[in-house]
Amino acid sequence: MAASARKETALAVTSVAKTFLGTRALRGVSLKLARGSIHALVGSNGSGKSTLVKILAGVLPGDPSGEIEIAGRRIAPDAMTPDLARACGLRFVHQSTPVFADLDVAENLALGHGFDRGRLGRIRWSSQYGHAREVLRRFHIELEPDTPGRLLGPSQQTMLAIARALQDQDHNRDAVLVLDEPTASLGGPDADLVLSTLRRYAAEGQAILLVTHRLSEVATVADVATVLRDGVVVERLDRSDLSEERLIEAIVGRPVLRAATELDHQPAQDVVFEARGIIGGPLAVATVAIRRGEIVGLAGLQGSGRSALLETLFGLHGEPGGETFLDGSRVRYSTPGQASRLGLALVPSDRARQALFPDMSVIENLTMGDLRRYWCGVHLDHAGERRGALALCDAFGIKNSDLEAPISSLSGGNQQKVVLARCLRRRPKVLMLDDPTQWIDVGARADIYRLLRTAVDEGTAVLLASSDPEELSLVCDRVLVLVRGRVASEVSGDELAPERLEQLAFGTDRAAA
Amino acid sequence: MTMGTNPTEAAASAKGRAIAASRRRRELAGGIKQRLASTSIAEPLERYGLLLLTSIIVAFFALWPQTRDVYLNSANVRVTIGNQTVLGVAAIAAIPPLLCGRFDLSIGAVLGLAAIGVAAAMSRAGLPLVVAVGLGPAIGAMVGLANGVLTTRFRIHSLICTIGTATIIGGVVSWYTGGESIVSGISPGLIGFGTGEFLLLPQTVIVLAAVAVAAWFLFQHTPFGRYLHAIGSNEEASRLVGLRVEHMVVLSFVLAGAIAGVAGVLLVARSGGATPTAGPLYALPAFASAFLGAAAIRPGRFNVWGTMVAILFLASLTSGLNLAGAQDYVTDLVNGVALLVGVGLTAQFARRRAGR
Repeated sequence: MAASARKETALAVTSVAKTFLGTRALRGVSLKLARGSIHALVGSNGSGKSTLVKILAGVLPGDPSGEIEIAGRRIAPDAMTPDLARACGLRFVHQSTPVFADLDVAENLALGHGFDRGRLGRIRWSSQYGHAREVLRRFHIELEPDTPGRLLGPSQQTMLAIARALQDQDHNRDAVLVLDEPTASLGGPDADLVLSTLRRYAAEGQAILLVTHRLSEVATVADVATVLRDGVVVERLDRSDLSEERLIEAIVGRPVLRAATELDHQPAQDVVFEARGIIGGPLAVATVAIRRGEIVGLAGLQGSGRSALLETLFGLHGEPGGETFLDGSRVRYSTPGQASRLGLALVPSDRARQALFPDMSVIENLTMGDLRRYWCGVHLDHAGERRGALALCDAFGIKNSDLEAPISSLSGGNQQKVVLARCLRRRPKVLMLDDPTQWIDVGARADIYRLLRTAVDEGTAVLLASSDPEELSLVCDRVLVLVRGRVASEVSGDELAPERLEQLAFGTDRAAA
Repeated sequence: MTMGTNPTEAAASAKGRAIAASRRRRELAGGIKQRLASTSIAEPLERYGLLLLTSIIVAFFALWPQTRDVYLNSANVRVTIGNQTVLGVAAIAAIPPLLCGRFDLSIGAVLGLAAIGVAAAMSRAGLPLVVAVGLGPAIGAMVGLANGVLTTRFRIHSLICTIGTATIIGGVVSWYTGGESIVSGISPGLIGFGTGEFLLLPQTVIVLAAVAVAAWFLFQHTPFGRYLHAIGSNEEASRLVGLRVEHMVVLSFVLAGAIAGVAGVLLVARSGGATPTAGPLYALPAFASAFLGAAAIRPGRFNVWGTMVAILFLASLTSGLNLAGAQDYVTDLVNGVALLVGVGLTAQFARRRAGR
């Protein structure tokens, strides 16, 4: 690509608006995406990011005013269709874009592109694999075409999904890549790998629109950031102005994240829960002890056994292999039901798959684990259930307009608060959380930290696993770092910093072990 | 037992109610048009649409010259409703496994087996009426237990599993009866009950009503019913909130079998005997009613009253068509279409509720 072409605008959005029956989700939003640059689109949940992406994708018609200019074509926002978006060179990769575990890399690529077929509809496997090899080389992915999807690491899966979307653009990278939260489920190093690859694509001329909640990523990787709040562009930050603090202020309109850290950390008390020599799955003799009144963090790369440890401790894989002690006495359990009766609770990582009853009401979701208390001998006390649910919504700041509405109508942050409220209403002795703030905006995140701190003050011990080292250093009293299924080190006090945690998670420094 | 409220909860809830009320007022002012479209008309229409349609059909056949002389006369009404009581109970039997996302296709076969069992107990073994009648649900519950254990312990898909057990039951029934109906030696008390009337309606309606009320109560006003819904909504989440999923699923099959057994007893009472081929014929209409019923009263969820409305709907339609001179195969056509429409609508409503 010529140097002059690099400044060329790949995508221009001019005063696009969207009105949903009376409410204005977007008002006069404009942005310009230059070729060879990464343009971050940030904002809290409900700020209009996804609405804009959906309008670009042609999934949702925008209001007729304004225009979208791409590849030299001017398109009215209400005239966009998925086929038109594709024809103009827009390529979307969503956070849940799947890589099929039973298909190999070449087949996964072919699913976005079509198979190369010979006579009688036969697939020409040799040319198919040749094409795949070429695509992998072009996108700097170090994989063999015949590797099965299930052997791919999380970052490789993400990169394969991106390559699948981009493979059929011309060689000069004329497409516009729209990425929706590509790193949301990735650990620090995996995310870094994906981001550095994206930088490389941009350097080769690719235009990338990056929608993300991870502000540290925006600060390091983006050339420009557009901040949306309540459907309006509130700030446009260039490379030189990009810092996390500026972004947070723009997103929330007030400094908020730091507030959570200023809460007093209570002095830790006696050990509530101890698990010794936990084995099974990726776990190799992990030992954990949590004291009353503290939030213990669990850091580690993807595959280090972070989620596995929580699930095992909650009895999801049968009786934990090892010894478990609650309040000093040995306890045995082999199902989540028994674990929760003993006073353990788990907020699982995959909200949609593991925690929500999507078609059931907010009330039903709130009372599910604790329904017996509303059984008054003959029937369920529906009025009492409702009162209890209202009280919980109030206590946990759950915004709802209709408690009878299905839970799927709430925003992600509010859904997560419902899950948290469901766990905490039983006053568990130990609350375990597996990446509870994934895909949640900054405001709701701060609320959740505050709720955790309140729970701890009321006597619950918290074990918080997270893929975000920043979150851990912010919220936790001390952090255990898992490396290959083993607690390799423990950090607290001044040592508790994101960089240090990442370093330890890589296993590069074992001094503190 | 405790009602689960304490002073702080009560105070907070009062505040919460006030907030909710003011929010509702604001919403109303903000988007009257939207609410008109989505709530005021559409929601009752979804809930009571089937009931409305039933009334229209009844009115049509009651006024249509070709059928108006017989359609609403008491004999036809009695026969139509009487014929539906067995089906009504069978359709309720289909619901518990459906609630937790399983299919019990063996309910028809179980119904037939129970009928044969009850009839044989009286005519061949000479057991007293009470014991024989109790045998119906007992046989059903046993088969349900087998279905439940096979689907949970051995992880056989419920659809395949119950087709398998239904086929085995069919074989056992023909072996035992040699293809012959059992008509002699049935207790006159039972037959008397099956043909008797109560307030101009067949007495068997009382049994249907009792089963329906009990099932409605169980599904909607007990934790057990809520747990079945939860398992159907998200099995993994159910496990993670501590529900004993396998246990509940087995119970749902046992319940289905027992209710199908009751339907078998009713069949003997109404027909005065048991025919080896009668049972399986109930499976499809029962499923059609359960699915169509899930598109009414509580759209998107399997529910007892919706199912009852669906049965009334199908019965009034087929009865009218038969009186107008249509052939018997019309019933099959109607049931088949009802099953497909019911499944389609239910999936649609459920998807919308789940926000997908």
